[in-house]
Amino acid sequence: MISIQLILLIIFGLAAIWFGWRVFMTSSMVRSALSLLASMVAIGALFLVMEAEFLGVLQIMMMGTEMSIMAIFMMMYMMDPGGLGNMDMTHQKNRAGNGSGHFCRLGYHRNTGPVAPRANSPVGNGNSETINDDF
Amino acid sequence: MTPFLNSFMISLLFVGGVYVVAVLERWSMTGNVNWGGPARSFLLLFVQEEIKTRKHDKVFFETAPILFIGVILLTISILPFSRGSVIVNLGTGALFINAALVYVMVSLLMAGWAVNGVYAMVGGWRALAQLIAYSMPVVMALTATVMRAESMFLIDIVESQQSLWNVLYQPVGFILFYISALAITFLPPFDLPVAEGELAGGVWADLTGARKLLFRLGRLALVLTLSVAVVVLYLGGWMGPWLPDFVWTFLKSLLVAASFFTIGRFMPRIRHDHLLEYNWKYGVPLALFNIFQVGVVLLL
Repeated sequence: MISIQLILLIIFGLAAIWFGWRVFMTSSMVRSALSLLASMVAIGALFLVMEAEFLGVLQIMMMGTEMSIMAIFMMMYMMDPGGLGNMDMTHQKNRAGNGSGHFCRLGYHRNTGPVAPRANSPVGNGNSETINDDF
Repeated sequence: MTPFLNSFMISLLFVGGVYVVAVLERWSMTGNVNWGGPARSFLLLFVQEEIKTRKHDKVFFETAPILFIGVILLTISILPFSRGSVIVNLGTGALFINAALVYVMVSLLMAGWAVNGVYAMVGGWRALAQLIAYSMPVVMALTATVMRAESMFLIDIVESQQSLWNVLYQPVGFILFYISALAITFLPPFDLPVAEGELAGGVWADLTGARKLLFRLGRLALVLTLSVAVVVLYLGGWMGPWLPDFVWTFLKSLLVAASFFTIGRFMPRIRHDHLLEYNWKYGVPLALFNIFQVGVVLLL
C-alpha cells in the first residue's frame, strides 16, 4: 500500500543519497560540508516522517552546528579550501600508490604463517589445544 | 471569537509588530522616529537593481536568503500567542526553537561565502563564531524552563508560570537568555556580522534588491520572534488581566523588542574577542549554575 508517508520516505531518502553523492563531486570545502549538512537534514526529515519527532529535531539541530564547525575547520587547515586551484586530494602520488600496495599485500599475506611460534604449555607436555579439549 | 478570526487577528498583529520593530530599528540607528521610513525602504529595495558579484556561488546566493526567512517563519509557527492559538503544537517545541536558530547561522554563513567578497566572508565567519557561542546559553536556559514545566510543549511551559513567572523563578536564566537573544539577532551591541562602518555592512555588504529585502525582513521578524520567545519562556506568555490573551503576548513582546533597541541605542559595539570570551568564560558556567539552582529548588 502506498501511503503519503512512504512517498515522503522515498523522497527524503533519495535526497539524502543525492546530497551524499554531491559531497564528493565538488572540490570546494564549504559546498562539500553544506552538502553533507543537507544530506543529514534529509535523514532528520526521515526520522520526522517515521514519527520519531525528538530524534528528528535533535538530528537537524546537532548537524547544523556540527557541519558549520567542520566547514570552518576545513577552511582553516586545507590548502585549497575554495577548490579554485584544482588541487588533488592525494599528495605524493607515487608514494601513496606504493603505500597502498604494501597495505594490500599485508592484507593478502595475513594468513600465510604464524607470527610467533606457539609457546609450550606449562601443564603436561602437550600443547594448549589438548587442554582446551579436556574442558 | 472564531478560530479563523483569531488567527487573522494574530497575523495582522504580527505584521504590525514587525513594522513597529522596523521603526524602532530605524530609531536605534538614527535617533529619529520616522513612521514612513520602513515602507519607503521596502519599496526601494523591491525595485532596486539586482547586482551580482563576479564568480558568486550560484546555489548559496539564491538559497541563503530564503533559508534565513524560512527558518524564522518555522519558529513563529510553533510559538503560542494565546491559549488556543498555536499553529503547530510540537512535543519538542523548546528544542525546536534552538534547532531553527542554528539555521539562521547556517544561512548567514552561506550568504557570507556566496557573494565572493572579503567583507561578506569575514562577516559570515564572525556570525558563525558568535551564533555557535550564544546558542549554548540559549539551549541551557531553555533546559531549565523545561525542567520546571516537566514538558517541552511551549503551552505547558507558559502554564507552569501560573504562580510565579520564570523571570523571578530563574533570574539568571532570564538574563542569559535575554543577552543571547540579543546576540543571536545580531542587534547593535552585538552586530559584528553586519557591522556598519567596520565591515561596510558585512554579510549584507554586496547584496541588493530582493535578497537584501529578504534578509532585512527576516531579521526584523527574527527580533519579534525572539521577543515572543522571551515572553513565552520567562514573562508569563499570555497571562495578564482584562485584555484578551494574544494582546498581552504582543504588548509584552513589543516592550521586550523596544528594550533590545534601547540597549542597542546606548551601548557601544562590543569587541569580537570580548564577545567570545565573556560567553565561554562566564555565560556557559552561569548557565550550568542556573540549571543546578533550578534543580535544587525543584527538589526542595
